[in-house]
Amino acid sequence: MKMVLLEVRDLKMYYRAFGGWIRAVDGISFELERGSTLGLVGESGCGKSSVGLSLLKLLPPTAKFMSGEILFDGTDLLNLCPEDIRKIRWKRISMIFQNAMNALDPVKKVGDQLMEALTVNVNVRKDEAKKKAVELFERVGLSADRMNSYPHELSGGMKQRVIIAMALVCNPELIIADEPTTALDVVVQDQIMQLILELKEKFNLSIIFISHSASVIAETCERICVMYGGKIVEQADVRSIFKSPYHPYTISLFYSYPSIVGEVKKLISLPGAPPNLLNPPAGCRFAPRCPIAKKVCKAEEPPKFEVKKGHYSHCHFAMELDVRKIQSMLEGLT
Amino acid sequence: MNGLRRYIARRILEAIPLIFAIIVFNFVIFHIAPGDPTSYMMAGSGVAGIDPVVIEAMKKRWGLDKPLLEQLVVYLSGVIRGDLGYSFFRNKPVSEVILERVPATLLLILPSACASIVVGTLIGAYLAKRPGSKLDSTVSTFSSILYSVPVFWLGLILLIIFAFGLKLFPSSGMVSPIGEYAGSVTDMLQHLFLPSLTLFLTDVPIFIRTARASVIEIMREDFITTFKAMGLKENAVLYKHALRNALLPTVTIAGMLLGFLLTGAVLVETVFGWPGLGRTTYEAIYMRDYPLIMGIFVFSSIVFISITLVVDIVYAFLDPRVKYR
Amino acid sequence: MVLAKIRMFWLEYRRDRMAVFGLALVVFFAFIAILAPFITPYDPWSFVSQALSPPSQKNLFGTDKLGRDVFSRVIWGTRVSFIFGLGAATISGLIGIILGAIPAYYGGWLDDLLSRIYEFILVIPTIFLLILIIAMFGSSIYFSMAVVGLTMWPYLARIMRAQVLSLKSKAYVQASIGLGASGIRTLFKHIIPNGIQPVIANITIQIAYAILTEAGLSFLGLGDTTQVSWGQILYWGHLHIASAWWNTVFPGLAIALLALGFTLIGDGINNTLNPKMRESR
Ligand SMILES: Nc1ncnc2c1ncn2[C@@H]1O[C@H](COP(=O)(O)OP(=O)(O)O)[C@@H](O)[C@H]1O
Ligand code: SF4
Ligand SMILES: [Mg+2]
Repeated sequence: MKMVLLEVRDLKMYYRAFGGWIRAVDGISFELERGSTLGLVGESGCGKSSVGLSLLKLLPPTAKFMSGEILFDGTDLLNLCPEDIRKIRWKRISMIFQNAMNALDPVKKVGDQLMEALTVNVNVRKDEAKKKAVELFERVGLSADRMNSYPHELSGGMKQRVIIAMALVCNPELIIADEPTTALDVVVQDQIMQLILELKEKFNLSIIFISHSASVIAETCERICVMYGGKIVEQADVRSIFKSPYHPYTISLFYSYPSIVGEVKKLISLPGAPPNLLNPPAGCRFAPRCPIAKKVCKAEEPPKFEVKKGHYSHCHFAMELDVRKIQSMLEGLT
Repeated sequence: MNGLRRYIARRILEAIPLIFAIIVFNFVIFHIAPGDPTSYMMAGSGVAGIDPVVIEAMKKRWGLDKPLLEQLVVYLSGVIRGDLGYSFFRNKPVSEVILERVPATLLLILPSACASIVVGTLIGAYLAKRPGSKLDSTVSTFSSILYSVPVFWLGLILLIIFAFGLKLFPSSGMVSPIGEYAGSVTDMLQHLFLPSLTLFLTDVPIFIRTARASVIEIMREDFITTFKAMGLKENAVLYKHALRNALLPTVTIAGMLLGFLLTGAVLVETVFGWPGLGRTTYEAIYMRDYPLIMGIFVFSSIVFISITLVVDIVYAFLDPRVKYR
Repeated sequence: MVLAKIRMFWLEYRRDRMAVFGLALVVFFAFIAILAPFITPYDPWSFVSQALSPPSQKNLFGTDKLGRDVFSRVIWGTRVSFIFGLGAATISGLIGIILGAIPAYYGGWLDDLLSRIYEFILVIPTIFLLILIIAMFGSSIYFSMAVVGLTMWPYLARIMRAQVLSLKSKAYVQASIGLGASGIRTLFKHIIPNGIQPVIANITIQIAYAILTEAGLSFLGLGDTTQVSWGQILYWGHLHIASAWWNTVFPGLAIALLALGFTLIGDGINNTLNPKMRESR
């Protein structure tokens, strides 16, 4: 029997800007099962971080929820008052941030910051907090004497380990990891991903991974949502989607990852950039860059197709895509 | 810790040439100024009642008949030993005149500076919570107005209203010359009130602006989001993390702020006849007591450099990133 | 291109009510300064009424110790204060921009030397420096203007320097160097125009600061007694503060309003460049 921990329904969250609304999250829905991993993937600027921040309502004052529900363990987080949200933060949902370099207070010792994360949320004695901190430092592979360091004295990978330790300190059920390895060297990236997955098993966590890299998501997640222009364009289990993608954007995204699709050796990147969400194009938002766009794409928003059980695509031509053909068209574009 | 000690030593060593440069600069100024350098050093020596022996001794003392370079050496070594010249108008060594007046200035500056730093920083940090709100724009407008009002004019207006109009406070001096309470602590506090208020009002906008701008800047840093996500209350994030980080820029520009405080003090002392260093400067200008003007310049520069040094050291304590720079 | 940029800038600037008010104040005083000879009811130098008579229909702002019309003097003083503020800030701006940009662009010992020089100037308490120099060299208004300008430039140079350092690494600048443009050309065509806005905001604030400094120096008895500046009117006026408040209040109000105008413009430019400082609620 599967249990749904988080269910997001038709969420719309916009930022107010000079000249209108930036539609950063524009009607997305997904479910996360307890103990599973979900990946949000897409180019930078597609609204992934905005989704992550929406879940904890960590948004700037310019942000506004326009519609939708975020059901966490049955309660709609959007209906909670700030005080109740605060009680969920870190104790039930914690976050690992995009930018390890700046995610720690530069003028406080990292050990104190870790203990602060514990003491503001749980009633513990000082020595207990200390004990827990030492334990966690060791668990994430840092020696306990690192607790007395300031952030600038640590390498990027070490800082990210501190942040992971911090995320675990209150035994949360869900962790949102926003580009947890993007700022790191390749080797360190791999170590950190392994660490997160190991800890997931040990603590029975549910994780939402956010990344612009299809390969990171492929290696870590059970289910994948592909985001483009503030919307989810394709959603499926990892096997299904890598075996047969049903959206041109997904194909272009995976195409830069040679070992998955076909025998292609060359890495390419799609020309152009994601749409300006202040004034997104009508119809399909991918149309300006889509190699197979037709007239209908620019006029009508594509409906949701269930191409297989649990595999959804938002493309007018989802049912008749020829993956090979699109690949070679994409190749022609670069 | 070793790194910190080395840093402090280096900062002190760097300050020494600056002090030398100031003294040399002063020497150069009175040599290139129109008129005879001797007449600047000896200004006021024509005042009746000065012993000609003193005048001769001073001329000798400063080697005013010797070649220029030798004079510079004599001057430098004099200043370093604390000899800033002789005020013939007051018939006293300049250093004595200055030291007599310092306590009054401190009594005026310190309370109002502390109050404006604390109050201004807290207000600024509070406003940074909601930039652009009604309260924010109102306070910002007020602080722009206070910032634009000449200090001494504000003092004069307060005088017109509270001293001459309402007769609530005395208009001038540090204590009343006569009366039941003359010279008591209450009497002094009454005299202190208007000048302190004037200084407070003109200094507070600077701290509001600085704190507001730096807290807004810091509140956008990633680590602030971390602490919000950690379930800290908004005020805890603001005061425990943002403010601590935001104080760093306040400390950095403390040098500039210090200049502001001093300018304010000179003008306010002049308005209220407060017998401190500022009022003394005014009197020295009035009498063209050049040795005293030069002495005050050198003295205040040295104080200024020392405070900047202290500020840098405090900064190193507040910001762990600085030490090994 | 440049025009479009300025237009965009104006559209954004216009949204800040206080900034627009500041601009209006400055424009108002600029008109007064230009039209001064036509709108002063009396010659600012000559005796027109009884000494120290209070504001009346004849003398809107009353008269001073010598029976001169304070209203006419304040209007006339607008010119002097405007010239003083603009002059000092222009001197400071030119030196600050050039000495901030060139050494930063070329780096090396020149940059080190210049940094030392501004460190030195910044560490001298400006007020005492001004007092010393003006007391010894004389208080002609143009001389004071130059000296005030010379004490203010290091602040601008520091900002300019930071801008140049950050722009130097930007792609389009690199491209321009790559295309063989000469160093000076790149600096003046690409770097300075792109990095100058915060410097301009600060120059505007320095105009206000210079006007206030002139008043302060006058108040300490270091003003130019041959000029009808606001500082001078205020200095001679405040001697009669207990009996004739109008001699103190009006010139001071004029100083405060013009300084406020320039301060608000400076803030407005800064806010426009840096809109996060006034995010909507
Ligand atoms: N605080 C904000 N205010 C206004 N717009 C924002 C803010 N944060 C992000 N955006 C905009 O929202 C869109 C999505 O951004 P983001 O969620 O960061 O995407 P991603 O994480 O996929 O790169 C972008 O167009 C970005 O410019
Ligand atoms: S709907 Fe049209 S434009 Fe959009 S992805 Fe499908 S084919 Fe391309
Ligand atoms: Mg992101």
